[in-house]
Amino acid sequence: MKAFKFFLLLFLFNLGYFNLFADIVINASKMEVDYKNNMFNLSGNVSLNTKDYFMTTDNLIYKKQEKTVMANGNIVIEFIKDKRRVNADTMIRTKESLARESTLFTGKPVRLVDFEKERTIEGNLIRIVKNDNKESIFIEGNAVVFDDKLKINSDKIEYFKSDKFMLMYTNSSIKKDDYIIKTEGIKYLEDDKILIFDKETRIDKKDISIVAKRGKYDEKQDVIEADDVTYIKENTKIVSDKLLNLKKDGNNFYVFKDVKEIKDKNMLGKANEIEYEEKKNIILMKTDAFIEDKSKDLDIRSDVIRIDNNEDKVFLIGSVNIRQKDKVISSSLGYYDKKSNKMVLTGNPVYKKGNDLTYAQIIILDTSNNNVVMQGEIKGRFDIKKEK
Amino acid sequence: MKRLKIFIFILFFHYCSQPKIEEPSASKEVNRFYAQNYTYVSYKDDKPNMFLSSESVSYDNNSSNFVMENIISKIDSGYNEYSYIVAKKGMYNLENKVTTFFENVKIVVEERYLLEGTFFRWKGNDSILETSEGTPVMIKDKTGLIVNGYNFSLSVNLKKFYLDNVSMTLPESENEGF
Repeated sequence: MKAFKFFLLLFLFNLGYFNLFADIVINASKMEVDYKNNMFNLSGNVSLNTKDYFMTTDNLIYKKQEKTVMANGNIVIEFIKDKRRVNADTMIRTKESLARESTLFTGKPVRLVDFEKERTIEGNLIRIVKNDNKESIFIEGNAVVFDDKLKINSDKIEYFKSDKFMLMYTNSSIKKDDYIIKTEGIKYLEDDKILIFDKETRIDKKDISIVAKRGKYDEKQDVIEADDVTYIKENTKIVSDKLLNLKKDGNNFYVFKDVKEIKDKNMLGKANEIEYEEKKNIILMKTDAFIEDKSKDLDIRSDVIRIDNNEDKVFLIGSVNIRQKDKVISSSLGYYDKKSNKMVLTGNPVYKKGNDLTYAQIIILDTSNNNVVMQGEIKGRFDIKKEK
Repeated sequence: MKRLKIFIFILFFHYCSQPKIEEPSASKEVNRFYAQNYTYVSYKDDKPNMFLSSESVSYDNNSSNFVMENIISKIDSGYNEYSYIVAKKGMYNLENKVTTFFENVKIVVEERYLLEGTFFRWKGNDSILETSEGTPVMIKDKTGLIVNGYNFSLSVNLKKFYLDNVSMTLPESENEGF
């Protein structure tokens, strides 16, 4: 008897030393405690007040041993230090160590309002992980991040808040005032405003669409670098291995390398390199440039082809070689007025058709009817037999 | 805190000291008896499941009640776990095996929780410890947890207790799950 009296008193002495520092307060209508498993189940108008947050919910389970707090039903949490509010259906909060804690919310949807960044995050599942004062937010299932300037939708978003970057996975789209990005995977550097992607991504900006498999878009500078690119603007389509986007006098200037295909209205072609000046709408095809107009059975080859879409003219420089049907004209300079269908070739143009060979100062090809007009000093050889 | 320690030490020595045995009063009725330093052992399934010690006890065979003062009790919770109760006053009913503890009641539940209140009832047959409706209870544990509430009910068999209108306070700690 004395022994257990002593034990009781000892137990009493051991209390009290701790009570002065209490700062987590929970109120509820009812509580069930499984004291063998150290599990507290609170229900009915539950409120939880800690130094970091204030929460109200229908039910709360506290597993003391596992250092886990679970809640369900009408959860509203105001995070004081983090200046944010969360509305959710369920919550599981675990402190794995002093440095690492994890809070998982589910709901349809969970809504996290970040008052500091004036941003709202929604998703069917939101997990907030804090590790060594670094915070990450994982959002899954109809994930949405939006503020007054930006809206991101995705199947899954990982937001590394402390490191200031965001990873977006499948079915992602980023909408801003001046562009829409659709992607299967992208990394967004929040402060630098740079988007890096290694999955197929489509950028729609005004009347331009760029689809690429890998690349980087600098939102501040409005420039893009990408691989395996398809560029589309109105009637122009360029497919290339690489795209570099520069700024010239504040205007966009694109450099396409290893161009596989260029389609401009009814013309189709390719070149080693293409430069495209967006504002002037001028396409400059360099090195082994080639375009064809199948409707006219017309091929144009040149070292350099310059297509002025505003003027609807094509300038040819270098080793120019034109073929329409059975006629071939070679020269070193030329221009093609697409409106009048006139191809004017200078720079020692040479006309060939079968065994006919003619040199002239200027050769003009009407691509609408395949007629050729030669001007200036003309020298040539005609195969009369064949003419008969 | 010092005052509490001194008080509890005094209480401790008081319990351990042997008071004088007084002669039974001549005015007591025949159907009652009075004793001092009394220990009562209650059995369940041939095993002792409750030890009741009190400084004084009187028995009324009309109501089958033992009325006790300055009680210390030990309750077997099974699996070699025990609960301890101290109270200023108490009453044990021999027929229904219900023990009621009054005034300054302190209970240590299986070395886990300290309960404090003015009224507790131990139902020996059901192994249930409870308060009457509307009675406040304070619960503490060694980590500094404090719970205040009403309508306390504890089932030793289920290892669970229930409480209404709860206010729970936990100590400031960086690693409690909150």
